Amino acid sequence: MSAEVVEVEPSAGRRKELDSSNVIPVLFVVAVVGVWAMSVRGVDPRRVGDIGLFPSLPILSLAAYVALGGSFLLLFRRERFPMALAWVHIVALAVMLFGLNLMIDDVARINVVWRHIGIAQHIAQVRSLDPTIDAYFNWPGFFPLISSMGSLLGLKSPMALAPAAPIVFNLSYLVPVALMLRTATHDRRIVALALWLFLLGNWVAQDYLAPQALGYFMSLVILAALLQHFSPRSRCDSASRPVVLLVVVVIFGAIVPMHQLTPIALIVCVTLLVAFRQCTVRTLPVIFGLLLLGWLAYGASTYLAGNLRTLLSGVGDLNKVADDNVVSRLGGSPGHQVVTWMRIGVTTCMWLLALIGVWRRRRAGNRDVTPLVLMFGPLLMFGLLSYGGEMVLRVQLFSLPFASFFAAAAFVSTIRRSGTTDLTPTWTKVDDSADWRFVAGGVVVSIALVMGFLVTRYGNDKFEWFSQGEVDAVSAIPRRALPGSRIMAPTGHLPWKSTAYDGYEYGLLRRRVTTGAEVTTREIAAVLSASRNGCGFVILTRSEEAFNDMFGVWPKGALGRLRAALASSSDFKSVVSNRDAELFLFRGDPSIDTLERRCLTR
Amino acid sequence: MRLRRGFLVVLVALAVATVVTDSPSAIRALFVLPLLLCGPGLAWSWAFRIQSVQMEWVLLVALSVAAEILVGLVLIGLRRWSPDSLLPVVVLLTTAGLIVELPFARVREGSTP
Repeated sequence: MSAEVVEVEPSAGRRKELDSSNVIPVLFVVAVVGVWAMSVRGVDPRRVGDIGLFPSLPILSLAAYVALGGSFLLLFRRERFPMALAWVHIVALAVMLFGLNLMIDDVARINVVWRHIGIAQHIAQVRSLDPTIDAYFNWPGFFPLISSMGSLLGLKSPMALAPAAPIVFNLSYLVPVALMLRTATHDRRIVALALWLFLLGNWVAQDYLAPQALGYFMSLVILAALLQHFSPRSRCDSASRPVVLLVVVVIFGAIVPMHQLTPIALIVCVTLLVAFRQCTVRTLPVIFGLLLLGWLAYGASTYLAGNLRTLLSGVGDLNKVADDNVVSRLGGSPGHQVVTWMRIGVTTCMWLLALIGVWRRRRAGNRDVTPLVLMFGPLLMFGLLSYGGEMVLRVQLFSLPFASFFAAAAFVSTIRRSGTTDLTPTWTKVDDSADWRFVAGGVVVSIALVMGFLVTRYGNDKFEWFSQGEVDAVSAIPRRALPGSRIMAPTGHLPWKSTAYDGYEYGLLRRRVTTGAEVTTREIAAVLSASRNGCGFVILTRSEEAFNDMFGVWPKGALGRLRAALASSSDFKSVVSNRDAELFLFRGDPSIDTLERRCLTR
Repeated sequence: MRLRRGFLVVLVALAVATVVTDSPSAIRALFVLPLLLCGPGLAWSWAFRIQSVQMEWVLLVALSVAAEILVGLVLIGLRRWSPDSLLPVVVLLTTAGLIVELPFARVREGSTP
């Protein structure tokens, strides 16, 4: 699709990039981002349907994505590829792809983010770790850090860090990914296009304020350092290696107590690099393994003692993994099934492009052992654990840098000349401009991937978005409910647990009452009356209703009917009510009235 | 090298000043955030001897964050942790890096120790 070749003499390239003719594309990108920002500010998240945010986006914002993609691909027409300009486009794309919620939402989205803030707040209050609370307290490294950050920045809560997290994390991924890719090719066009595809392929939404997001950045840094300094072809100063190795071990040592899966992914990747002789530190997998075992034996022993059997029971059970990760995700409303199939389609397209890239580079004489190892290596994790049905997402995440690399190589071919490899710096060929077919094909694929990204990434927005009313109702719990009370919600998709994480007995109705039939007030009363201190509350929110209507835990509209039933029941009293949420107190027999006086704190 | 050391000293001073004087969040973010994200790593980066600037910077950011995570966990284990205790730790790690570097820096910069 592209014209041959490859290297540009670096200093000449830099002189070219400083040329005044590059000012116009930069101004164009700034204008595109401005138009995008203005157009998406008017989006009403309440109008989001089962397909997610995409249909609600204004045409102007979609035009901005297309314009940015077109401008980026036109860079490939230049006689010498302007990497600095490409970076401007890539950063703009990151802002436009991952900044949508920052522009649209009033409060942080995704229930897990609220839970993470609750854990950080809990640790800040009690200043110790109780590993019996839940799994998070067995891998707690991330939470004291964000608690400290929030406090030192003078924020009331680390929640203020959450809205910008996806942009910050995705921008932070770009540099280590670029460093990794540069060990595989000197062709800056492939690096730039791979970074572009990396952003478009990162729809798995693991970049919110979470241990996984930070752990992923740190794992990319480790892999970049290993590829740059410990590859057999590394030209780095050998004097730096011992210190770099020490730094790598320290970084890994910090990932281990922070996240369950990331250390395992790294051990798999590093072991494969060593096995395929792509990493000269042959003892590194052992060092990493010992650090992991040390934490499992010490820091996470409480969790493992209660869950080891369950964890090990799924190891190697491909049927269970496939069922949890794929089959169970295919359900939902017809609109959500479109999103699910788009996710499968986009991921399949990316992998098909990557396989074409593998074939093209192999035909051009590149061996690409390291990129192949790091693209296929994470697939081994698929057979290891189900990880709550999320393993396939994590495999996609860890494979993405080099899947993007090969997908980029499907468009930009690098012709190896006799006696050289793609990694041999020759600085002689200057014709790296692409022909019109590359630009036209690239624009089409880029538009398709951008639209695919907007559907796949924001496909859950109907229940992942929260309104201020929902937050108000949830934040009334610690003000109104007696500590230790049982707080029940239908499905758990609400912004709760951000305060008093361990102060209440939180529970899900879907695990306690009949599913598949209409949920009744009598069933809920039975669940609440069995609480430890006799006090019980039930909270219903718009997001819970949206989740139920999309995934059918109970019949469609059941939670709306339940809200009306609770409001009219003498067993329950509405404590907080607004358009989007209602908190009910279980007061039992209203003629006795003791529960109401005991359970409500004011 | 001198520029880096000077930058770090000023950054530490300003970050501590904004926290101690309880400055508004926007002002704190200008100094505290860079110190947390790259202070300790930048102070010790003289030991890396890495040619690639980008590699050096991602390593030092990751090292800073890693050090803060590990020290935070150790302090929690010792029951000495509080949300604000990270700042003295970061200042200590940064200052230690600058002090340990001094003899090496003098040799590198041609003056006698």
